[in-house]
Amino acid sequence: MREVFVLGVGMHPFGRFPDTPLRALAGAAARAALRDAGVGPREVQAAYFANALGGLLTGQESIRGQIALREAGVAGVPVVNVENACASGATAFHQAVLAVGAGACDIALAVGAEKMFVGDTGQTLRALAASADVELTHDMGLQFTAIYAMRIQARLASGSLALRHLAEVTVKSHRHGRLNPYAQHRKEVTAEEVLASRPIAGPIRLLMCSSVSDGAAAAVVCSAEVARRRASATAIRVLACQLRSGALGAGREGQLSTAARTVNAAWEQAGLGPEDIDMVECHDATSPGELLYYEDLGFCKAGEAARLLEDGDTCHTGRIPFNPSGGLTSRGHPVGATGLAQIAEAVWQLRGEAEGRQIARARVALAQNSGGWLEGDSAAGVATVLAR
Amino acid sequence: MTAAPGVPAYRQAPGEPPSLVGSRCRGCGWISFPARPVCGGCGAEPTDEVPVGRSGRIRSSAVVHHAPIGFEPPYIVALVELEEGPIVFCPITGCPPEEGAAAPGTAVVLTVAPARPGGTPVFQFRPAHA
Repeated sequence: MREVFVLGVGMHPFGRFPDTPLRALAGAAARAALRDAGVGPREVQAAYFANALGGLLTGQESIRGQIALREAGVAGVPVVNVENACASGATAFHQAVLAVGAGACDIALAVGAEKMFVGDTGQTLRALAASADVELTHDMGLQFTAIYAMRIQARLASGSLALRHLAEVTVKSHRHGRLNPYAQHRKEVTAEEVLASRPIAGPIRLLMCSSVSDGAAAAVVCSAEVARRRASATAIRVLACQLRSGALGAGREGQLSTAARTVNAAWEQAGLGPEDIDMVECHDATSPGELLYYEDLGFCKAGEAARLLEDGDTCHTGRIPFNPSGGLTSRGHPVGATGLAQIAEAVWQLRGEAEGRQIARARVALAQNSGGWLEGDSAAGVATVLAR
Repeated sequence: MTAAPGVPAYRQAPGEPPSLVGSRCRGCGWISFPARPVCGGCGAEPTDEVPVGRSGRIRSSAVVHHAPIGFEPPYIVALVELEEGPIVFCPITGCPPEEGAAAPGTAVVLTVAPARPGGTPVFQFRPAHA
């Protein structure tokens, strides 16, 4: 594969934007990324558009990408609609990287957008629950927070995590999110407030959950030649980008998780390991999920997540900051946009442009996006390693 | 959303205990749920449909406090490891909806009932001692 670079990124802030349609969210993020890259819309040679729930929430199927990308002046070129649950955004990025890496084009655009505030929260939650096998889970009362709750509850029962750790990682998430102008939740919370908030499922409380959100994010990727000719000082190298689906029998005893298999493939591609990483954006759809990823992604041994948190290693000023953006919990989780928002945050951090939330040493970053749920594990996973 | 025309998840003959519909590889014996024509363990064909999941153990569970429309919280959902190996998601019935009532390792048996008032019958598990 040829070398691939991220030339520009952009976002529409995440939050509640009742008067902004999906296409406008997507268009704003795409235009911001193109401006950032110094690329005109007619220079884009292929585009990948990620959206997970629009079909169920608006009834618009099939050509959401072609509609949305017109808002950024991108049309006529190949447009591929990407749907891969909460991993849709990073999947679109992965496809753009493959297209450039394979030499099929020199400039590709990946856009992820989601419009979840549609005036009926019940409808949005039903659409989210459709990221499991609906034929098997129909009418069983599945809601996605319970999936995290089951895993966390088992860890509480075994004693390797305590309620205070769930509260502390939530406080950290909101402290980071407060500094991110693109985040939906920009208010610090206390551990007491977290534990006093409404119970959602098992030990998971309202303030630990990522929110229903509207938003979009985008990235322009290009070949080495294009990166050299343009703003090469700010081009970020893609050292690895790996996409996996959940394995058959994934959740059974002794099986590696989808996230672990995905990140292992990324380490292999990059020739790096967790010890080489300066920051991580991980898929904390509930804040305590971040604790599980410390172990799953290899940043500590099994059972040692609590210590990594307590030592302060993963906070903004720590040895290996996790989710300096606030993560899904504080940034918000417009599902099709999340994976590209992780990429955007990593790029801003690596370029030293993250302003108030800039971490001290950002040379190599990992972005990890999960999606869907099958046989007790994620149905999709993407791991991306970026370097300045 | 309406009920999808589903894969046959369970069967229940009159007067018989229900079972889940799985498949067993003729080559390696690996059990799949739901039943699939290709083995999930070794990738070979053919497989034979077999009844599975009359019993299992709770892998993990959680009490749901904020429920989808139509459901009456609190209730328990769980991942159950079937005695034949597959992991399934379903509600847990026959015990109080409290943390610890369906703790990891609890032996459970299959039952079929609606999980909400007026719901369609779905497969669930209940503690074996209940």
